[in-house]
Amino acid sequence: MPTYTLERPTAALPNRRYNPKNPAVNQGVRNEFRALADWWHEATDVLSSPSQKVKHRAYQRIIGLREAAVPLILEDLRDHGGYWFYALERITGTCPRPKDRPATFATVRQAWLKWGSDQGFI
Amino acid sequence: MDSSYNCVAWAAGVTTVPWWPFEWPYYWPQNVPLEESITAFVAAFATLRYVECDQPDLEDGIEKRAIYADAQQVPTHVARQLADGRWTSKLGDLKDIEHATLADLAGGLYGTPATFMKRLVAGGSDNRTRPMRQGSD
Repeated sequence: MPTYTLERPTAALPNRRYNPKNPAVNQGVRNEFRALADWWHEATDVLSSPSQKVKHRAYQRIIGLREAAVPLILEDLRDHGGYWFYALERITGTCPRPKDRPATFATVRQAWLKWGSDQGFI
Repeated sequence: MDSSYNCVAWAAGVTTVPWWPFEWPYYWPQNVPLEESITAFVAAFATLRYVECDQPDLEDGIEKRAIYADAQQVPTHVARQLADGRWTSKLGDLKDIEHATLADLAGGLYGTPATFMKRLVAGGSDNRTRPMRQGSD
């Protein structure tokens, strides 16, 4: 029984068909993601402003990795946390919302991890 | 790292949801402009009965908040005054700390203190650790 409902965010990337069965993850992408994610965390974990977090060049480059980044983002969300929801929504065009629970950062994170598990990413 | 709340939420006495004029799941008070401006931040804290004041000095029976802003006057951080006049801040997703003065966090990513707000202390108690209100979704 899923513990989230799916909604389409209002600002999803246009005309993007996301294929969850074919994320092109290879070691090169993994290395690139890790370098960008480390840079992003180092630069923005100390900031409270989500707009500053998502505007950071590393974050934007991760969004640019598109579907290949999804399993890597989910792993980082699982292992380190952080405001990855914005990137995931823009790449996937979906937005799992906690069902029957208050929408806190923790429950939204759990909803995304559950979605990622259901999709076979993590 | 704990993204459950941020500096604004911490200053508002909330530890369950981060506050910022941004999209869900960030919380922002209803009827307060969803904009990154000092005016909007002042209005947000006005929903908690804070009013603007001139200076951050400790006053009996008064609790204060300091809103930091960058060179473009965009809010970057909010600090909460403790009962002894020191301050406490949540450093983004990182831990919350105590600091002796507002200048301790000024000059870098957080900019400088731009606006101060005050209200009467509720029940005369130390507001250091007791959340006074929970955010909502």
